[in-house]
Amino acid sequence: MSTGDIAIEGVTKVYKPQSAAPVHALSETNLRIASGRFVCIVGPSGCGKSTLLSMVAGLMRPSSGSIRVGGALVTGPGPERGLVFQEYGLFPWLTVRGNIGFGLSCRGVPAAEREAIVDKYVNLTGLSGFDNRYPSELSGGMKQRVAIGRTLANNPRVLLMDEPFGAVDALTRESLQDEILQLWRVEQKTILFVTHSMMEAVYLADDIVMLRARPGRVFATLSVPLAHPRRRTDQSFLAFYSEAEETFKQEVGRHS
Amino acid sequence: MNARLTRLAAVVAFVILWEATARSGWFSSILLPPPSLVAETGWKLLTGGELLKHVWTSLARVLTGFAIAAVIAIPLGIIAGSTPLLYNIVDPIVELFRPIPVLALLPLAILWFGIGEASKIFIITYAAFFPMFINTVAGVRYTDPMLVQVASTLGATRAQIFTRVVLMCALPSLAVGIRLGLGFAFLALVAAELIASTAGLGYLIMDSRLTFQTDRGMVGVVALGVLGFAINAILVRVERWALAWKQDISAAEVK
Repeated sequence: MSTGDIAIEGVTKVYKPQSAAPVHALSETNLRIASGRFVCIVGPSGCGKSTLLSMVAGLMRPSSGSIRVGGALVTGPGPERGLVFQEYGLFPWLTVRGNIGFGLSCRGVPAAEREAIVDKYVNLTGLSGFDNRYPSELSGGMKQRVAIGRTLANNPRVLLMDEPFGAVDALTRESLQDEILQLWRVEQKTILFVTHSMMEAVYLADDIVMLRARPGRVFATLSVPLAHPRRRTDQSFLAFYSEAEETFKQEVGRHS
Repeated sequence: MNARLTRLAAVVAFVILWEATARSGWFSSILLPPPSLVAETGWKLLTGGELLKHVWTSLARVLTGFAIAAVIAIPLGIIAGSTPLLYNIVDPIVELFRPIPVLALLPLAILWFGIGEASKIFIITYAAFFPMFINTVAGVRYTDPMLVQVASTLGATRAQIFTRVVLMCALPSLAVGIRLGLGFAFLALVAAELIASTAGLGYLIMDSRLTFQTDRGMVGVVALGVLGFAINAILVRVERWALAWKQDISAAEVK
């Protein structure tokens, strides 16, 4: 068994608000993701896709079932499962370097080694020359590059991304998509990527997991039969995109 | 005309107007001495050493009271801000005392601590405590939960999350508390010195009134203004340096 594989078995999540009926955010979900795969989770809002990601990250406990990463049961957050948020979550009082080195410094990586790793990810994420800027001085796209670099610097086995490109403009979004594919090729991580854009999923993923809402439930898993690099204008790309969109609309359209 | 020149001209015009009014004979010069006389008296007091003695006495009181308040308020605020149980114990008590104007406690403070230094330090400490405590608690309590989550997924321990995230998030609010605290300390200082003292700028003002030396009293008033301005300017500098990452920092005068 490889170390970056994710096994989600019988996982459910029920929220119990104090003064209202329980909300079934996610009904029983089973997923097996092989190490090194790029998996996109697509679904409408309220389908529990972010909930699922938070549970893999360990920020939330499942109501039942278990999640294992590399064979180890997830009981809380850990550096082997890096999470990238839509709203970046950069520490505003740290520079780009400080942010990228945060996890390393918390885990007691010696300064010299830390600096070398930070240098590597500053370069990999195209942030050279901006090392000593504060987050407030960066554009949205650059902030997300810092957040990705910060997560990768920790050398996680799994990269969890929660609509990471949802807050940037369309052009930046496309270039970030190419950058994450490039990083994925270099770094060989398992990536679990939540999005509500089917186009984004078809462009990026090996596998697409589709969820519907109320209650959140996986209703389809598709493998994307397209080799990288993909082009959004190729016939084969558009054909598969229509097929995926059709599958999605049939289920989600009918029930929501 | 640039802004700096306009501001300087406004100050000069004010001083000229004051001088002209004082010399016009509309008011007794005992009640309103001209600024030239105040400056002359100030120079005499300064070169004679009397002014510095009063400044030093007042400054020592303010800084002692403020330091004691900071040492109590900031740690207590951090603890109360991060522990819901302690917050619910401390907060109602603080809210009970907070609306009481510090001057109302002055007679009691004299009763409890005598007319010496202790009662003055007590009043200053008491006044400076509240803004520092309340702002520390607010800063710690309103930490961005996303940053705490980010830190935990990056492998930070609970202690590291506290020192590297929660306290850093609280810093801007803490800075506001410190500046407000010092402002309150100054107000309390003057009040305490007006009532019962034998040295300090408040005493200088009170003593001058009793002997109709208005010019001397005004030197005390101006000295307090200069002192407060200087201390605030130092704090603003320190704050700018410590919070350099925060672009929207306000340099507004908080006193």
